[in-house]
Amino acid sequence: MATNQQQVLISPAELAYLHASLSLSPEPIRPDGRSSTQFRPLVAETDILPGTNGSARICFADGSEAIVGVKVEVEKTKPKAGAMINPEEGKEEKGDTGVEGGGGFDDDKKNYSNDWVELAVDIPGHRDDDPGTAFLGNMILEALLEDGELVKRLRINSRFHWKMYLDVLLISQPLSYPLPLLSLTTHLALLSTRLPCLISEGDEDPMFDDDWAASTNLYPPRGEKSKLSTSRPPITLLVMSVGHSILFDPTYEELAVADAVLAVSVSEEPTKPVPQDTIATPKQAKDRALRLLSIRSIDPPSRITPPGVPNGLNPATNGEVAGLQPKHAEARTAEVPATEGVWKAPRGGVSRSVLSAMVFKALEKGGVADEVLDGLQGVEMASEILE
Amino acid sequence: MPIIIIQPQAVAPPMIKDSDASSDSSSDNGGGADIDIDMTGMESHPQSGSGGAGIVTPGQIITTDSQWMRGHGTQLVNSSTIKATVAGTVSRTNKLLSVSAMRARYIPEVGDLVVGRIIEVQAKRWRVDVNAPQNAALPLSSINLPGGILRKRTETDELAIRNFFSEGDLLVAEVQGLLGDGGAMLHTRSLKFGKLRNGLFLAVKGQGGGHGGGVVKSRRQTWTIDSPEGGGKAIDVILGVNGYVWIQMHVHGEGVTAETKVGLNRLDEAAASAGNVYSSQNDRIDRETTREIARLRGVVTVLAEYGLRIDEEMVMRGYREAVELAKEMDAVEDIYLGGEKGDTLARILSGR
Amino acid sequence: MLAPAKPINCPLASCLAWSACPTKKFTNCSDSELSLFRLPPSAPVTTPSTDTINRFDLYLRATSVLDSVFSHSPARNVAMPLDTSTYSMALLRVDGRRWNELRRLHAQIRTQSASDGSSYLEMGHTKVLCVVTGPTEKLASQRMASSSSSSLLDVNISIAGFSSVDRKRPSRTDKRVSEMAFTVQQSLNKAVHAAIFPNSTISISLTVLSQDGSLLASLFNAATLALVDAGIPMSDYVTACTSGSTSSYAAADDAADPLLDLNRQEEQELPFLTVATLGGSDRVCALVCESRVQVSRLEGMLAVGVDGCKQVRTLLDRVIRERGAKMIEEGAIARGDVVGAGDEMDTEED
Repeated sequence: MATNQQQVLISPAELAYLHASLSLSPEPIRPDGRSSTQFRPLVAETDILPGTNGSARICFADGSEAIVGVKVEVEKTKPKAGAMINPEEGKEEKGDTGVEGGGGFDDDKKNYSNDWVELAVDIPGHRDDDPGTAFLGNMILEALLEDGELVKRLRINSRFHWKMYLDVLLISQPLSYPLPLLSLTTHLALLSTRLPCLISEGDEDPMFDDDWAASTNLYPPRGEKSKLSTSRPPITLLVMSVGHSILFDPTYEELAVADAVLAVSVSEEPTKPVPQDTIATPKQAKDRALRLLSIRSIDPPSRITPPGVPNGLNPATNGEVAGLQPKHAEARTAEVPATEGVWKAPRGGVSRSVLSAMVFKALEKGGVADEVLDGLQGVEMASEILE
Repeated sequence: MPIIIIQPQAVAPPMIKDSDASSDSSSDNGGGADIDIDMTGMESHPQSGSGGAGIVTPGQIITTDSQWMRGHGTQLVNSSTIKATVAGTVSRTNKLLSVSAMRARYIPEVGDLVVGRIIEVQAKRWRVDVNAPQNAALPLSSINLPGGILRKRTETDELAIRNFFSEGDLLVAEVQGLLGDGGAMLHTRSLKFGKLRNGLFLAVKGQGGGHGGGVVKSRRQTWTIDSPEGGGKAIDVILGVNGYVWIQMHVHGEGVTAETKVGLNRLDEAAASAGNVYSSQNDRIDRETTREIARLRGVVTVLAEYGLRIDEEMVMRGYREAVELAKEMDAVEDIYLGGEKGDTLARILSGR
Repeated sequence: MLAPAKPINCPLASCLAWSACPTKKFTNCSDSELSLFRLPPSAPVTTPSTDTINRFDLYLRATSVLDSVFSHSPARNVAMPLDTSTYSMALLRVDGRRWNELRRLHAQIRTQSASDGSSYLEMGHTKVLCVVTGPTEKLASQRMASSSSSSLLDVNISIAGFSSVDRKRPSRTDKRVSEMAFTVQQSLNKAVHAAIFPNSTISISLTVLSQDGSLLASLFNAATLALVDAGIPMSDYVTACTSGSTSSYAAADDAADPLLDLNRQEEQELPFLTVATLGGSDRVCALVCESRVQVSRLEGMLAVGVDGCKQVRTLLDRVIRERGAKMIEEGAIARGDVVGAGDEMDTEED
């Protein structure tokens, strides 16, 4: 699997230090002092571009910055035969039927198509057909399409749908693996997306209200009456493990000593539509059920880091000064027994228990995904207040 | 709370702020989507009357008097007119006028202590990233060779060049000289210099060069904190003038802050300890020391993010304040200095 | 944030389809000694005869600013024509400006902490982000490639898919975009003191977030700001703006007046040019005209454009100064030394 394949330029001594510091128990010490589940502070804003249907910008304190813009267009829905049906989606929708509430959907169910959403990722210094970029784009898109909620919202009537274009721009140089940044920004942009209000009825050619103030949210804010379920767009979190430590939102240098890195995509289990007469309270919003959409393992750059040379084998440190040339080469490449304080790239996989702990920590109630969704919700609400 | 989301602070204020008293009434009629600005009749440099202590910008005439000589950040037009080429403040050294940019990359100067990272290994030298416009060069002839400080360089050393430094290694060195094209030559011909280990690296980007916040050149670029909070081992801080910072556990008799004065009569001892100059093996570091190293790194990060001066005084004050803050909150273990704590710390340090 | 009416993107409503004109001429000064553009004593306005064309042609050649100003753009399919007939009567344009007024220009520097220099610029609704990285060591490959034409700057423009009214798939191979990048690079190269960094490269990465006319001019201005922020020595600001004419070529109206800083709607309908000057002077460092226009109107357009560039320079300069004043106030940088009060002079040369 592709990640940034460029050589990691971190010295073996630094790597050994990082590894030791991050695998301290009970709680690891991260170089920037964060706790293991803490994210880097970020600046987020939505609705930054009036020319789009929805947009968002997120900046991390370290300077990485991403902007996502959403555009929609009306498109004629292809007849059933041509429609691509995702078998999994079909299955899931059966489970959701009860939740759907507003009838009429069931008849055209087969018409939903994942082609309705198009996503392009732009990373400076990388071509758009670069495997790394394409992989990033696919991972974000995969999560968005996985639960079928987004596509459902794009339906206008049986003959027309919205075609959604998501443009994900990384503005800064990729300082760390940008997946979580891009995913969170996409999430916010989708939350801020508004669609023109439909004034035609049934299967007529769609007509829309010219008044932008009358437009509706693609994801209606909580508490608003809507026939759509209250699901939120998914988010993808990056989780890494070092020894027995599990860390969220790893930085570039932390990734360089990772045993395993997972991209965990999480969405909210759609809850029942809010009854007409009650208004959702913040407490209700807290009671979300999270659903795991996908897990992908990402090849950590730690695998290609250069190993350190123990003092005992290094002729420059009065080790085997007699050192013959072939022997040096061997010392650098061959398996040397693990010495304390000497970096050795991790080999092999990680145990199942660690992997499941990583996923569990992301998903548990009050866990990281829960808190991140709450935080992003706050951004959405703040922007509404500003309006 | 694992995530801190900060509200953007007026990232795109829709109106031009009118701080200049001399500017016209362009923003008074605000409110529409397009605010028209009629600039006719407005003088082109509102600042020019307010004295030379402010900011000069590219193209601005600093002086037309021919008694001055032009330095960095200036250009000479019409034989006597000196114009600024960067935005910054004017500094005067006798008759030399120069403009130090508000922010610029590090430009190497002879005698600077720098922290660098090996980018490339060539036949007889290393190319070192020192955050400058060009990579610096470290010739094999400018390092101390193990096994006797005055040993002659041999072919074996050339072949085994990667045993000393290889790609990615961090080192502390001094700028020995400058080449005609502005490139720097480094040397590590002292036991103070060499490969770095037992610590953490931090790059203070975008503001090297000693002006506009960032690491400033001062009396001491390296010092030892003998008794950090929590009873850990002593910690060395190395502030490379180039904006690269290294914080490490202090090892007695080694590294940049080593107490030993190397004299001719102690060559043997020096040679023995020189062994560790090229080591990439860390010593055992206890939890307390690791924690305090990370806390120091956090302090430097806060100084960098809030555009404050980074030198021994500020780092030490910041460190003491950070420890105090942690104690006040009854969480000495909590070393995180992001978000609100960073704000508080920066406010205390900047005296506002 | 001011919230103007949002365009609604359904095919029924979207009629402002933008079509790139395939034939165009970009002209740059090849000479480092840039020509001084001064208006000739007001030439009598006549119908565009061959006589006037030749006269103007000669004049242009003498100033070595342009190799050609004429190019033929195809008829554009614009469904909603811009009614310019009221321009001369009401003296106000479609967005309520007068002929010589710039749109709201908002700019910021240091928008991104990790980069060497960065800026954000809005000219009306055209929004551009710029990030400068460097100067850094030239890569070996770059050293090889640019041994003949050693260029310090490396300009990269990416136009976001959502920047225009209709979503357009961003493409790296767009000729129009690479020509714009080339224009910006060539012109800025003249202003930047490249000799200080012989083995280095500075990468300028521009991102267009929203387009509403004057795109090339905005790119110029944003890049200049980011370069100043990065502390790259340059002889002066390079600022740019567009100027147009109040009636189309087909109208053959010689009494047409010049217009400053066109928006998208005006650009689609009216002939226009983009001009960039060095500092507040009349030194033109880039002039791009992609539309068909009578020669007689050109000088007026240029004069208005050059004047607009001066206004833009003042605005950009203020952005930098405000930032600097703030840094001094915060104590991040020390106050400068005073160079004898008598030595202080206004920078304006004239």
